[in-house]
Amino acid sequence: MKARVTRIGALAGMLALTGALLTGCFAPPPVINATLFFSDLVGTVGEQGELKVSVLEMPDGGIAGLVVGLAPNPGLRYAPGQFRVTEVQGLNGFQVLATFIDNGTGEVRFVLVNPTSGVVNGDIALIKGDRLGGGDFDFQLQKVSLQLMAADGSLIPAAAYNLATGQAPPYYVKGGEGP
Amino acid sequence: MKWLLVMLASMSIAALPGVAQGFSGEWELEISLSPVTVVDDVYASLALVYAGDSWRFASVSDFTSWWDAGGFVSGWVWQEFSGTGTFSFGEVHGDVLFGPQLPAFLYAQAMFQGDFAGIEVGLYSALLGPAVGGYLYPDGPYCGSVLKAVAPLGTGLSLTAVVEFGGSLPEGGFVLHHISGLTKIYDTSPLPGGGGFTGAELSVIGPFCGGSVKGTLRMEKVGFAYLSLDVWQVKLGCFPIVFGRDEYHPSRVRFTVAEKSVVLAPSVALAPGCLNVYAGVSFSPPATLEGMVIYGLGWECDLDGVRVGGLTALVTDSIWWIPIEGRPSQYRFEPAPPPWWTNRYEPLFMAHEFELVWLIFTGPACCGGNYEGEIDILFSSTGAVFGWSRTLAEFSVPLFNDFSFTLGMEVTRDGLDHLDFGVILVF
Repeated sequence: MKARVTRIGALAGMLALTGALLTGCFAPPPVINATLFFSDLVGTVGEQGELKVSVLEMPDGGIAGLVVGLAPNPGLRYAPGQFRVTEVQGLNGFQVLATFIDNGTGEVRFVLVNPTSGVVNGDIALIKGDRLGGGDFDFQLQKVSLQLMAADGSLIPAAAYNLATGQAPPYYVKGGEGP
Repeated sequence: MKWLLVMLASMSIAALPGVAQGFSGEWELEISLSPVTVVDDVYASLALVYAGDSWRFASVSDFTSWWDAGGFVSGWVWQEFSGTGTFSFGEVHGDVLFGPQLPAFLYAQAMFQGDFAGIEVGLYSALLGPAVGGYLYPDGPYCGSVLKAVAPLGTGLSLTAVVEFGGSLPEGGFVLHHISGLTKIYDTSPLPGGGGFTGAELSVIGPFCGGSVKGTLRMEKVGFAYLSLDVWQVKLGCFPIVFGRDEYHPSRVRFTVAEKSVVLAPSVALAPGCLNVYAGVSFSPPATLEGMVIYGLGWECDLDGVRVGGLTALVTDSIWWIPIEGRPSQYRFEPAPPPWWTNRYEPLFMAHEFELVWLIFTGPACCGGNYEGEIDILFSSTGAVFGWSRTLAEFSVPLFNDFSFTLGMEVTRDGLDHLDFGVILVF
């Protein structure tokens, strides 16, 4: 009798968990507007850490050029005691024209350009470095420090896109699991 | 002293189930010592299982340490609860994972697998908590489900249908990482999330020319994604050339809306006695065979309780030799690692290393069970005596029926790198 009750309890628990997960699944997906997105820092402490620069729903044929750290404003800021930038790599046809890294103050500036086409959705750069610590911190960047150029040669105004910056959480997923 | 507290807490918890009936479990502790930092790493894991005839509940707690910018840090990293029940109509399984460091809910999955009129049906559902970061936008939670059905069609053919509602069943599993390097791997990915229809696949697998063939039609939310034809283990006549190594490394023709792609993935199948020849075919797409490439030579001899083996890698760039479960002797060759490979494995060779010799010895221990030892010696293309780079040694011996002791060490050209002690208690 006890075993039967336990079995029924186990089944009910599993069904409840499945139901809870399925209920959450059928929530309407969020509406994504044009967004420039700097991801969370991903990597093991003491080894390489990296974050991606990605775009979503970019207008006018997609993004083809990006300036991070438009003078006289600062570039992407981070906690220098936790992360040390070593390199900026272009992705999906983007090339890095210039990079300025100051690990003393925790700032990286760079210029990216894609000479062949625009990217509407996807990754455009990878910022690599050494993850020195496991403390969570916010990457900081403001729109006034950015200049975005579309594939048709026009500048994308600040009001036409969202800017999102990540953190350095202790738990993360990476690689092929991403959307 | 935090690591000491972790040890004491683990030992106290481990002692509790000993007085309770119906419980079993395992407690594991590993301490790594270093000449530089004294205590280099601490890992402890406690698994508690409460099982009956057709059901099983488990709790797994993982504690570990890492070196932060400010020094040595340790903590309770994972807390996992899982349950499995077997019923007449199938099996249900659920996992819930928490991150005690924050603390926060991290991940949950529920799986149902059953057999209905000869058709295997599986429903997989998963949820990723908002505390988990990564390359994700917008922030979580993410939730997704997958419905999978496999139906045999006779004569070796089978039909598989997969419908994705914001989730997927990734080939390498869904991997959650902690900054310490510990990972947890599950079957169901809740990405890209959203819950609505995101994709569907219909595939037929069957035998073909001594190997296998698989035809797949994939539709996604925006419409047709691709139609592909995969073959693997298909031999080229009497030549020792095989097209497609396995289902995950096939030769493939794929049609998308925009293009047709062809991947032949030829390899060479040679097995002259105890020597393993890791070879491939040099090949220019779409269909030009240019020659044969020997990636490495492996060998192994069994000498009555002692096994000796080695590997000489002729190509170490752009291919991966990886040790399974951290044991160099259990290496695996992967000429074309899939994207998820780096989530699961570290490379066997460090910089300039190319050669490995290993020795495994076993024998009866004093108090039941067998002792086992492994010594691995790695050589590099640079360095002094024979190009010796480093030596790893691991030894495990059961001291009592349910208690075993492990000892490991690594010596490099700079001296002793680390010395590891570990105990495993099964109750």
